[in-house]
Amino acid sequence: MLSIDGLDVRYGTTHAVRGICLEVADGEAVALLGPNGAGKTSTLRAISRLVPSTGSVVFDGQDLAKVPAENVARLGLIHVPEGRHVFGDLTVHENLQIGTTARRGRRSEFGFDEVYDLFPALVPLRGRLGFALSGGEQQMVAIGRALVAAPRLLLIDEPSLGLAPIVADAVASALVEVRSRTALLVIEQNVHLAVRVCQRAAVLSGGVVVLEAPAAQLHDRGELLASYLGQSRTGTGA
Amino acid sequence: MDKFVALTASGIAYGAVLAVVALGFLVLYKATGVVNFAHGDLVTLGAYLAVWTTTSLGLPTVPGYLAAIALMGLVGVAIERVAYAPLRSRPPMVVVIATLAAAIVIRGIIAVWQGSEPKTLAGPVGNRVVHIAGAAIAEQRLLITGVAAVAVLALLFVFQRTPYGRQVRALAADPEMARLTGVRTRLVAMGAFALSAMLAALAGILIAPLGAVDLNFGFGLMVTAFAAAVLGGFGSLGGVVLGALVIGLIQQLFGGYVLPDYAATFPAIVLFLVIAVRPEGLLNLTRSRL
Repeated sequence: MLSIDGLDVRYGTTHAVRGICLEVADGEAVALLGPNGAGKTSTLRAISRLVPSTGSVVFDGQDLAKVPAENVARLGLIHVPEGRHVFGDLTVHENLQIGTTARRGRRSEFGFDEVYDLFPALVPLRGRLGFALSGGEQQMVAIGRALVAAPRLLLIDEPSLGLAPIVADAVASALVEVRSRTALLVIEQNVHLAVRVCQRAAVLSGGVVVLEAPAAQLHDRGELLASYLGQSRTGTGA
Repeated sequence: MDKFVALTASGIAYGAVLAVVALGFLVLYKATGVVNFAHGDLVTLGAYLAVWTTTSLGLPTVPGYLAAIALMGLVGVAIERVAYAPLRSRPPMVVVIATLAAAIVIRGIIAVWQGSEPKTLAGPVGNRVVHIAGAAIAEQRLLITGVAAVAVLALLFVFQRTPYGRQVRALAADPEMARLTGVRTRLVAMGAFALSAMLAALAGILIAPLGAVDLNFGFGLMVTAFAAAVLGGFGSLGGVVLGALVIGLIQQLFGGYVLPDYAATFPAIVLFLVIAVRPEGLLNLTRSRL
């Protein structure tokens, strides 16, 4: 479904992503792990054509090199960026409505009703403006807005960042639900959440993939993983 | 009393035209982030085009007006192609300068085409007046108010209730995220240029029959409408309509009762006071990108 080969991203003299190769198969959920500055967000932004890159990004047989970002979304490659970016001047429901812009003719697994079922907390907030939402509510809107676009592959950047554990847990549960219907590529600092949602993980460090393994095996390689992530803990259950 | 009624009617009609000018200005600003200094000259061009369709082409007033407004939609697209599209990735100030250049070019074209003699535009209701509470009020002023009100309500509907309006608001809030949701920013921008130019033409056509059309006709309106937009908080459409009515009434009532010779300076004074005392505008409902 998504095939990345030799992806390179540079910002001036900074070489953020150095020749990454990565595959996401149909219906697969892949976690992208790694410490701050490893190049995870740059990789996602390059896939969505938000930053210039070299190397090839092929989605469903189509090379995305010359495709503008809005058309990447219209192909069904939907990006939920870091920081959620809910439209502050639009209501919750309007944020969901604008998500359908990228749907084109695809049949959507998620309509507005399914999103409200997935995130019941949003139901009473339908008419509330985006800037008046909490971080967790914004994350739900951002994921919902992506789901109504009939995604074939969802790119999600740090879904649990800055959320209280109980809210992060609700978001993870929703992603487990989503995983059964669409492919995922998720950046996540919280390894526990990543293992719960994804079948496979790639660990980035210094702009290269240093480890790729089925998510279940991450438990066995906890110490190695922790050394890459620069975390002091040795387990993955934190 | 009749003087008060007459001045109030004038103020509302003038404010209604200002609202149409200011909203045209703002639609473009929201969709593209561009402050278009050619907007006043688009008002002038719209009025001249209506003079041309109704005299040279011999069309009846209303079809002639509609033809002029439709032509202005094409002019808007042309400006987008020439003065905006090639500069999209440049800093905003470059684009602002390009709009100033477009303003000068438009004015030059009008001068070559129509000369610098003032023209008159025939109104659909002629010089008829109606009497309200003892005051004689030109029917054209009532027509202006009615048509402008319909245009403003239609625009608010488009903004609040249609996919295009949502896309414009999304672009205004977060352009990169709008692209990630599949919003075609270039098409939305082109549509906004067309819509903005058509609103400029409508404003010019509404007010032209009350006086004469010359090369500076729209520029003064734009400056006054800019004051109205700032007064209204530069961003909230409802606030801008309110700001336009306030400016229109101040100009007519103050000008009528207190300082008739200085009426033209009031909008500038209001603009100055608002920026000095309350830069967020009267209604600070939404945050703007300025």
